[in-house]
Amino acid sequence: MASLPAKIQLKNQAPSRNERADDIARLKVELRLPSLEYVDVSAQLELSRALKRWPLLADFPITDDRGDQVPLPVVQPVRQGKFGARK
Amino acid sequence: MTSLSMRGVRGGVGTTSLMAALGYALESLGERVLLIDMSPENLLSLHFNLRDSGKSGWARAMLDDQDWYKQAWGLTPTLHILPYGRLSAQESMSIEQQLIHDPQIWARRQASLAANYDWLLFDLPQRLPGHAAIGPCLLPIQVAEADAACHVLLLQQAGSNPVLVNRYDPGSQLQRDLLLIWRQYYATRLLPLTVHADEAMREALAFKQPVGQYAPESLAAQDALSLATWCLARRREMA
Repeated sequence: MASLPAKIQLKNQAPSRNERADDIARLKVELRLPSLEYVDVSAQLELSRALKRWPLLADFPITDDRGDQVPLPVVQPVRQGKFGARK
Repeated sequence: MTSLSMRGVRGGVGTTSLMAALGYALESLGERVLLIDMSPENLLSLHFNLRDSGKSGWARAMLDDQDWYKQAWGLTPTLHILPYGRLSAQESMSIEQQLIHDPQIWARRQASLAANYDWLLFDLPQRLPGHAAIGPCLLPIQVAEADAACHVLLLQQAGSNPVLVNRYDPGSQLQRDLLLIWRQYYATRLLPLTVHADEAMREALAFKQPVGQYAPESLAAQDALSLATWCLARRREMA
């Protein structure tokens, strides 16, 4: 089977999907401007909307110090009237 | 030889059908594959029309003092399957105790199989840690559905194994949202591909075939082929 030209052969340590798909990160490398400050507002908005759309996700946030510190879903009895409420 | 295992983040995420599909896809790419059913449900062989295997399997053989390696079936010259066998719940617990007592059993068995296969594919059960002690494993994949239960369980388990999303339905707002969140936070853990929800996967079992054989043009079969290609690439990278 013909192999790819050396220039576009994959690196041994394949970049993550985020790195591959992140045009801005690649641009920083190409322009040699690692300190270029750029905020992908639309991606952040999309993520923030996704997190807000589902109340359960607020109870189980993903943070960097995840693990044992995730609280149990029920620490107090659910009060009457609140159960089933959207928020 | 490369070992790969699949275990559902929770039960019922379609792990066994996906495993059958992956085994078939890897073989179609020219690999020598042994599928090993580690689950007392013993369902993997049903995807290969092996009801005739009756009660036999590696776990049955261990209880009956027979040779485990003689329980494998050749589906094609390069696609073989080792069923679990039919056991009562009590008998499975006895096997579980043996596997916990000697967790190197499958590491030794892997070594004895190495010359004959390119891939050992282990279909793991949910809650039997002894049965999950299969020895060295390059790709210990956790299979999830993009739903709230898997989201919570992934958080609580806090592991580092690769996660594959099965039965993905891009028409679902919730699934799109969860995949977006998971891609953000589990970046390198999440496989770069998903297996789409596809009725062909369910029909394949009812037809006693892996999905790639039952409906080669289906989305699920194409996804299984992509997964097989990804496995080959990972093996090359990690070698």
